Amino acid sequence: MLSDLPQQIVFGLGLGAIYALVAIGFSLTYRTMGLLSFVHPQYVMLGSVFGYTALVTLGLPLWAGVVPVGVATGVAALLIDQLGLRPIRRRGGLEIALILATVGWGIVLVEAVRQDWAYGPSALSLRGGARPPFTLLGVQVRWDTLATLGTAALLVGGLSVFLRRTRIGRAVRAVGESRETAALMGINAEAMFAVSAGVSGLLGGVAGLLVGWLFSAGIATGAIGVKALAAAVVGGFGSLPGALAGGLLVGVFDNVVGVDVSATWRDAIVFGLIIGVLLVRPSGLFRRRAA
Amino acid sequence: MSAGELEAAPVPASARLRHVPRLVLVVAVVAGLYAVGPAYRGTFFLTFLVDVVILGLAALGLQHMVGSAGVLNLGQAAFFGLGAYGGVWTLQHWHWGTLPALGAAIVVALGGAVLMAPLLRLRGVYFAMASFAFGAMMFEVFGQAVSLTGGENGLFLIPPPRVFGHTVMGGEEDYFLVLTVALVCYGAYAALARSGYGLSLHAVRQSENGARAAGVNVARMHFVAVCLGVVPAALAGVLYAQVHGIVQATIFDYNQSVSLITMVIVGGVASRWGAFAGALLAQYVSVYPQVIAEYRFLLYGGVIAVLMIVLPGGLASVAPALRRRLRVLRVRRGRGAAL
Repeated sequence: MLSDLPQQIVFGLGLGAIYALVAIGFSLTYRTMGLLSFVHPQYVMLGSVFGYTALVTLGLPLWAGVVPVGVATGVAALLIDQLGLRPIRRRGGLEIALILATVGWGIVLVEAVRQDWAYGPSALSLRGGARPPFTLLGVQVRWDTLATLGTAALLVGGLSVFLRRTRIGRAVRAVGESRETAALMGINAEAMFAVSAGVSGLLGGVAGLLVGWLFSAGIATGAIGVKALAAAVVGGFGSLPGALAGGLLVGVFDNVVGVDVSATWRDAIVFGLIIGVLLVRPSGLFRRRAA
Repeated sequence: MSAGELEAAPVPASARLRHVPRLVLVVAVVAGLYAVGPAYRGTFFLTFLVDVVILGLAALGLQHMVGSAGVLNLGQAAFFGLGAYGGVWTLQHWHWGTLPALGAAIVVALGGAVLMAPLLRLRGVYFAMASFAFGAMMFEVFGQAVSLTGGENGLFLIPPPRVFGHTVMGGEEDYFLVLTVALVCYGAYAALARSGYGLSLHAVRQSENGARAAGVNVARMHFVAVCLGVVPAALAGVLYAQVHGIVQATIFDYNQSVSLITMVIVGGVASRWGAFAGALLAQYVSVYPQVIAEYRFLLYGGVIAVLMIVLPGGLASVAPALRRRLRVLRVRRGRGAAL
């Protein structure tokens, strides 16, 4: 039973890369705005159905679909942040009011997509024929696992460059560090919130496209986001490298537990892990200082 | 989160309504609530109200944790479920009546609160996430422990409520039962708010360090608040099971936790009756708009989001806001006349 462990680890890494993309979005939103966003999982859902439009309706190949799907989801995220959350921030609303508003927008997104004039309630398939897997060092590797890992690596690399090397990226980090100090430096915090919302949405959207490609697209896809939230917590909420590591870890753990331990208790065990990690290290595995 | 906005002095309403004899008001409201039963006998509206009161009860417990103690619990459905399964076990296997079953439900839910207790050392958003994971984990347990919970298929043929040997037969009687339980809980919380415990809790919410300096054991206050907050949820679980005759694990998923916290915030986080007002609004929007049936959950989400924009203090803040506006108007008019 454990003989195919390497196999499960490799496939788990692919899954983990998706969790990581979503978890990084969660963490970026938290780091910049201090917001636990429950609309974020629905960007995965949105990305998956946009993926259906790009790959099935328009017939694009996967690689060509990444940019339009990511951008479309990013724009949706930006609009929701600016139209749906900004008014609450401007009134100095409670943190819990903001969190609840994200819950509300999340429901709106799912219900809008569920309508028959949109994508309907059933799961959609994005793919035609899959290419046969190849063997590397005795481990069967699926091409789509590789594609997933590659896309995630490119995005994470791009995000890292954006946040470290560009003016806007540095401004986003500055706002996350201290809104007041950043304002004194002439940084418009609201604009940076919009940027980070857009970037988080873009990452979530691409993750959604990949979920659609690996499994299926549709309104149920947002459930992936719950595990991704767990991944972000395991890595240390607000830490981007932590979110990456947490995503990969939860992906592998999730897959190995699901296949080799118990498929029925899989989710309970994964959530138990989250609680365990929080109890032992309240600020996550990869974070040195408490938030 | 600024403490100022959550602030509600322990005795708010009575000060404003000083000229109305308090007892008369309370009796009138309670009588009015009971009168709704016969007035709507045999209607769908009454069935709907029974669900509102049950969910409001679970939300009331959550309001105590969130509003009074500042513990943002995103896993309340777990306690709703623990109460339901614990109570139903005694009903089906030991043939207990409703009142002892309610007691059993409380014991089981308190067991859950003890399980959750270690999470209380986490703060703010971290506790919110840990409690969310707790709720998600308990939901998986409910769904998979088939021998105890019936899993996804659920438990069937749950007997109707039986109190002091009298079997409660649906409709109006269901309403009286759930209303009575809800009023008792409401009254108990109201009394608690004025007790030493309530005052200490108030201090903790204002400033944890301040309370600590005054000799309040903050950790213990949080734990006690969670224990008190799971009790109404457990009661609601048993009542739900007996009124509906069936419980399925999906009732206690994280959507239910989110929907309970929605009721609390929509109603007004600092308000006890807001929990019921929130439950009424949430249930109404998700049950009633038959004309636009396929859009009603879209509407539900939209109402939450827009309400948080226009009325961040929830439904309970409508009256104070109106009163403030009226006072401003009156002052302005008075000044105009003087000039």
